[in-house]
Amino acid sequence: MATIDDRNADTLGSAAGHGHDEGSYLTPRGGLITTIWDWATTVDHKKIGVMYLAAVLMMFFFGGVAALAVRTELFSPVREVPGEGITGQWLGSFLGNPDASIAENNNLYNRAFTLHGAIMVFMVIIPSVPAALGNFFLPIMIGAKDVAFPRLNLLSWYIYVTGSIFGIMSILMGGVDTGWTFYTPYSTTTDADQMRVVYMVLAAFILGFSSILTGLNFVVTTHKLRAPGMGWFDMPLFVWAVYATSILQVLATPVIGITLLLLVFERLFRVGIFDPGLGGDPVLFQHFFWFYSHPVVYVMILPGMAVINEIIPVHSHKKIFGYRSMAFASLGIAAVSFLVWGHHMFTSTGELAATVFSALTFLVAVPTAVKVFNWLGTLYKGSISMTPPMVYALMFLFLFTIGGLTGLPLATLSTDMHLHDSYFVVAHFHYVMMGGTIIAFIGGLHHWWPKMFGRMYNERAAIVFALVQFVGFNVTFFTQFILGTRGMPRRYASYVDEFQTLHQISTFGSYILAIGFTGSLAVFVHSLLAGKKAPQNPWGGLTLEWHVESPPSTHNFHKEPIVHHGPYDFDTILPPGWDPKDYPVPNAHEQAEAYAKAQHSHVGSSHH
Amino acid sequence: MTMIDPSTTLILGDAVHDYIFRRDGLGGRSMADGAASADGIFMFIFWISTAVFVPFTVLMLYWAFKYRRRPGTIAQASPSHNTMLELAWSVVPLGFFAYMFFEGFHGYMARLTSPPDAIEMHLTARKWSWTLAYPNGAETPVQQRVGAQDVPVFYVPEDKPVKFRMISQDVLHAFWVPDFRAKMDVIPNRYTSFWFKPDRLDSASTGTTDTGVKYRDHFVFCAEYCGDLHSEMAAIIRVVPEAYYHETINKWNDAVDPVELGRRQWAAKCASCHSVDGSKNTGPTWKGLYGSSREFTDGSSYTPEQMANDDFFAEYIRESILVPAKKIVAGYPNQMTPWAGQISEAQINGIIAYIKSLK
Repeated sequence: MATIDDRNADTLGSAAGHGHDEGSYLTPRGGLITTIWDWATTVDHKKIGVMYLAAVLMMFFFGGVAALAVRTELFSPVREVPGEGITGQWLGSFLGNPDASIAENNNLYNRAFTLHGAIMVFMVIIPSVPAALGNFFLPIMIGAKDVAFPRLNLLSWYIYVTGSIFGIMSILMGGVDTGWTFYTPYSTTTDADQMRVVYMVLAAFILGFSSILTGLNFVVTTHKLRAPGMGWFDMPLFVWAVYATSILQVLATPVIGITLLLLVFERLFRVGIFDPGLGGDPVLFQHFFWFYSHPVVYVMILPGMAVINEIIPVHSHKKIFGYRSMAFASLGIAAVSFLVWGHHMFTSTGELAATVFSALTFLVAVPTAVKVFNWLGTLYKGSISMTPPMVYALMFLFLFTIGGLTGLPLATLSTDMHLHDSYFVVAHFHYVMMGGTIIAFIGGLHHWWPKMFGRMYNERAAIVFALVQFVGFNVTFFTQFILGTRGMPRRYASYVDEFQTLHQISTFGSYILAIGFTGSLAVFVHSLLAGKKAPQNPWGGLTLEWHVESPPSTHNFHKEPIVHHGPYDFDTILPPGWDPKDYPVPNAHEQAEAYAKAQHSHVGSSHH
Repeated sequence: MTMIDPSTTLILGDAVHDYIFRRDGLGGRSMADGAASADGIFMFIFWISTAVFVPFTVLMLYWAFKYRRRPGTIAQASPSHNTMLELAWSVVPLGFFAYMFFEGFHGYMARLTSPPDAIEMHLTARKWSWTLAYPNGAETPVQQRVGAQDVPVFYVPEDKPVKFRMISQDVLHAFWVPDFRAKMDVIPNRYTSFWFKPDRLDSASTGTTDTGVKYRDHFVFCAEYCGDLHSEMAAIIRVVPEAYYHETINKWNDAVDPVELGRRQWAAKCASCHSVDGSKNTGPTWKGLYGSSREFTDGSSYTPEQMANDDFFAEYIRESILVPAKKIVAGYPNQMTPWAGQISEAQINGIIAYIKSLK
């Protein structure tokens, strides 16, 4: 059987000193300069994951500030009040132009919501789980020392940063008002004398390459680097879902790359592709755009599901219900997601083809429903610890189920004619993208934080802030469903008076949400500065990351692990590092002894 | 057309429906043919979803509490999969989904296919206004204040099918009438259409004209993002008695003096960007334009004397309407849609006369 060293010899790169036991991956190798250089040139998937995490959290902050600006502007509509003139324009005054006309004020609002959407989609949600948590945990969970192409992995991070810099440059030049969807011909004609739209489009183009390379890396890693004993159906479900995501990224992202490039060509060289003024077709852009962007909706949600797949069984101390149907549901969602892009265009031209897309869209709902029922089935007769990750997982189930069910009237043709491009859609995709993916991402962060940084956090405070987020989220977005059914269009800087009460409730909700997220950040900062040292396996997980130290050593494993049990065999396996008294599976004491002996003699993390 | 009859829903169902779709002055009722069946499908999905979601959440919380971890124990033995159960929760939802799909499909096709006797009107959209041409060629001169913007009012007869043939002069727009539960995009390079048959006025009305004629107003919103004044790009559909509708549009079509013709053009096409009271907007105000100096972004300028020369002034206004980008007044963005091919010489002359009248 191959050893770790010769298995990965060609991919170890410049990581010096391998083969020695050199402590955790976080241990500095020298002074400050050396350490920074060490991180900047690292090929260690864990450090790259942590760097993605830092970048994603920073962009989440910027996107969140833009969201608060949007909600604050919407606190009151622009209207003429007798005796006071025109009121309700907040952004102009806030940014130092109290005399802004309605058009100028709206333009600031349009830039704010574009900023929010583009940052959250391209720079936060897409890379959040796969690039940050996936990079850190996918190799460890399959028993590998690193991803298949570590240097390419580092390159992906630099491409991500380059893309983000292009985005930030565009914002510093004044930002764009195209919406994150860049619909033509608006996007090819707005600010025609300015380069900033081109920069923003190029940012999305460049970020796409980061996705493609990360996806490619994960696909190869999953195929080639699984530890001995780990067949496809022995893989943790996190790996299954990230694998399905990666396939989508590799296959769909090139399409948006081409589309965005065509858009740049049209803007710069007036080549007629989408702009009817030049002989193009604007609906063609919508087809191209959603051919990528609908699969990407699943690139965003599948990793969220991936995290929940781990949290629920570990904190319920019970085998996940329906493992195989979970794995196939991930692949099924990925496959069908390529065939539903047309449901974004039910009201574009009103063609018969829409019916095909409506039917296929309902088909996606089936594997999604299967997953939700399986998670619920896992709770039944479990042994459930109400830890912060578990609280987030239950929040996910609640919010994501609402998000999924409200997709049904959008998939139904005759009701979508009313709800399309309304606040109902806005609420629906926030329940899925934020209540789903972002909540799962933060839950995953709570689940793996002790492993990543070797520190525990204040669990009670973490739960309190999770609940604050839950309340804030529902106050913000549930109101928006009702706004939508009553007739509030999306992307409006202003609205008719009768919508004001619901808008104000929604704005208050967004402030509660901001408090909740700030609180979680404080919990993590406190953990880094003063947290208790984390044990190897605080929650009682069985997957391979819980077999290694917290935080893991540079090469993850001291010796190549051999997998002898399934990822969720909680009914027969004593969690590594746990006291047999606390967890009386059959042969618990023998397992504990065997495990201690194996650790002591560095035989590996396997036990039997 | 549909198997769901909204009138058979329970009283609680009606209250929930009316809350979900409530509009000031109209309650929650939809106001066009076919819209009630869409509401019926929506409520069917709503109640099915509730029937799934509530037990789901209750079970989740109950199990999370009941099966909470006690140290020194492990999870009770329970199956880790059950083929029959898993098949059931895949196939049963699929049955419901199939039903939703077919209902939605029927409703959609019915609402895309206009009846042959529909009155055809022509709707043109641009950044950021709507113009409606009636069958006799008249355009709406009536405006109403919504928020801080004057928006056009479109008159349609009650209980008669009306079809709008729609096109955009620039970017994408979408024509949405929430009370009719329908919208359709308005696209620059092809016609799309939107038809509706408004409910009779005796079902509800929201106002009365000076002459005692009842009418009912419905908001129109632009639902496809189109730039700065997207949220101001509204209109009102005013449902009136059929006789009053004919009388009104015939009156609008009578010959009018050029200043009034120009004012109507302004109301229908220009008011969203050009004020006539001197206030600043996306474009320069028209008040006092005749005989005032102009400075342009390319550095050139016109003197007050030039601008008071009738021929020179008329030439400048005509050019600014047809090819606005040629001369952009300093301090304003190059935003205006070119009107070449979209406006008649008589209408241009009317606008010139109207601007001259705004001292």
